[in-house]
Amino acid sequence: MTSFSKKISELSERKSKAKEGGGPSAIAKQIAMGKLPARERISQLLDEDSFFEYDLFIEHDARGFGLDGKALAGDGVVIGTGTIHGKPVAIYAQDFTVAGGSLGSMHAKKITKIMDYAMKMRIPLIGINDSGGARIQEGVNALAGYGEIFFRNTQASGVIPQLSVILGPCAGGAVYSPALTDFVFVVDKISKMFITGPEVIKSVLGEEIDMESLGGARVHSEITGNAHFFAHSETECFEQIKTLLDYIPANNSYKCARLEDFHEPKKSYKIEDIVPADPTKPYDVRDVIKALTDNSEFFEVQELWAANIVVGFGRIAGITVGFIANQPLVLAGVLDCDSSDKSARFIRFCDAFNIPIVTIEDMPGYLPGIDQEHSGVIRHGAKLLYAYSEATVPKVTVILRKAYGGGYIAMNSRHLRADFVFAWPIAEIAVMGPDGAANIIFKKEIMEAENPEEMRRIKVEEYKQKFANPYVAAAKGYIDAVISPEETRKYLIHALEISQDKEVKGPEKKHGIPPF
Amino acid sequence: MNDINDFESIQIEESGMVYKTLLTKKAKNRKVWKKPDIQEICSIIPGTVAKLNVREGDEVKKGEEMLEYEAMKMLNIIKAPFDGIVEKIYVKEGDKLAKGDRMLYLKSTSSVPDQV
Repeated sequence: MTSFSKKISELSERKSKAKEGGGPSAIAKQIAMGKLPARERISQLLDEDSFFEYDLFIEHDARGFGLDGKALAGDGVVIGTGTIHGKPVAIYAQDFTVAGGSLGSMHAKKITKIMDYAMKMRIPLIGINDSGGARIQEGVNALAGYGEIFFRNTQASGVIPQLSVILGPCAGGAVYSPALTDFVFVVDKISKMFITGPEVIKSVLGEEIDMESLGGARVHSEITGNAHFFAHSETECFEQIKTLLDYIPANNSYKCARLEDFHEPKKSYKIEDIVPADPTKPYDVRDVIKALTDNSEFFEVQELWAANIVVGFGRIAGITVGFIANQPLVLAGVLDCDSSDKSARFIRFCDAFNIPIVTIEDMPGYLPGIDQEHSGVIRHGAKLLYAYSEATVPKVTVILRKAYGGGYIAMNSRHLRADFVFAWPIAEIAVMGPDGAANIIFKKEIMEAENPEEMRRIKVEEYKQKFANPYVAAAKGYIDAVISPEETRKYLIHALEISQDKEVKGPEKKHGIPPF
Repeated sequence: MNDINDFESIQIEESGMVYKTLLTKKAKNRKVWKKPDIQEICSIIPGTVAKLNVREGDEVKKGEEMLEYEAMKMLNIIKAPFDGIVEKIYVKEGDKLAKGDRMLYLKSTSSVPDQV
């Protein structure tokens, strides 16, 4: 054997040893928990044989507490680059089989290294989280590691897409990296996120709760809004990631390429049959979106949280679009704290990554109620106004039925600089619903009438005739065109095509101060 | 300045560290968490019960329309989230409800689903 080939066989020995992770029994335990090993996850997510791993031979530098001389393969994290559907990505995956995926200083250095690469190469970053948290033995060095990650997450925000995939526990300080990124993926029964766990809660407050009810995948998908995509298995989760990456550009200096080949919406979605003319009748606004998108495809974001507003991606004549749509099926489609939060964040993502926004409007206004007021609906609602006003990507609004009051202004109105506003003939654009408005404007007439109920009915009808239509707004130029439902896609295609090179410039500033 | 007597003790971590501090109004009024019973069907929005389609003792299948609930100018249909028997109805037609008010108790006929 020549010395060169000897060295090569030594290399492959070292490699396979390092790739053993925490060893066969730890890997068996990982699989028994329904979880895949770190490298297996990467290979399932990335294109076949596209993964190149770096820092395989990293060693931890913990001193004392029995860690000296103890080998931790790759220090519990795998980093590298590869491709998904041919497009480059940077990725890290924590390896729970090695010291519980705990984060020490070298572990953190690997993560920050791949983050720096992602930023330098301007490619999306994917982080797979599966870690018990800070490596206590490394003390403040572990905390420093988290801080370095958070800082980079913030610097990268709006420059490259950042995706966090929670495939195991993610507790304490560790939760804040995902929270700073653009999209968080969770898997039922596998993902757990919380700041303090059930045991601490029990000992401090005496309240008992299991891990799943405290911070399981469903909780973060339905209640907290921390997660954006919910899957039943890791495989389903990886498919969601691939689909998302198909819709978004690699960085903020690109626009999504327009697809040359596209299909018309499916015949089964007939736009004129979806929306009932009676404004009190609910329907699923996602059907309207599917009646407008290529091949009736719509990729929904945060489907289970604040479902009274629908956000997600689709394409119109090959152009990638971010949709924001009121959902009459849920909570009558009102705006409230959570739906404002959800849509404002989505708008800012689209704006940062040059994705045009299409707003589908049908909402009765902001939700009244003490709990809403006391939860700060003013502060949260303002986020939506801010996000729409600030966004400079092409912005198109279609008003289907109700556009009342503050909600009318908030939902990408002309006044917040929508580029195009279209309305259907059944649209009601008014300061408030006919009943409420008539009761105020004609209060005196109604009170003084011989038959107040009859007078109220007449006045409500009068108000409906005069104001609950799109023509008052059209007469002022607040909407650009009143269109029939079947014309909607045609109008959207044209609006998106002509605004491809839209350019507007706001005033010089360091940054705005959105009502966080 | 606040009097020292206003200070209360809170424990931040399991480590047993206890701090003397002022509590916010929100912290004082904190409600103890209870695992929600998903068989209790509550209103999720303030509104008015427009029509009851079920009576106590009725057996309903998942997806069956139980009541019509008018809220925010919309007639919302409340459907059965799982198979069950309507054990108790807390409301009648015309009742105005706040968010979170009980509407009815749907006793699940299979094992109680963990999530809907």
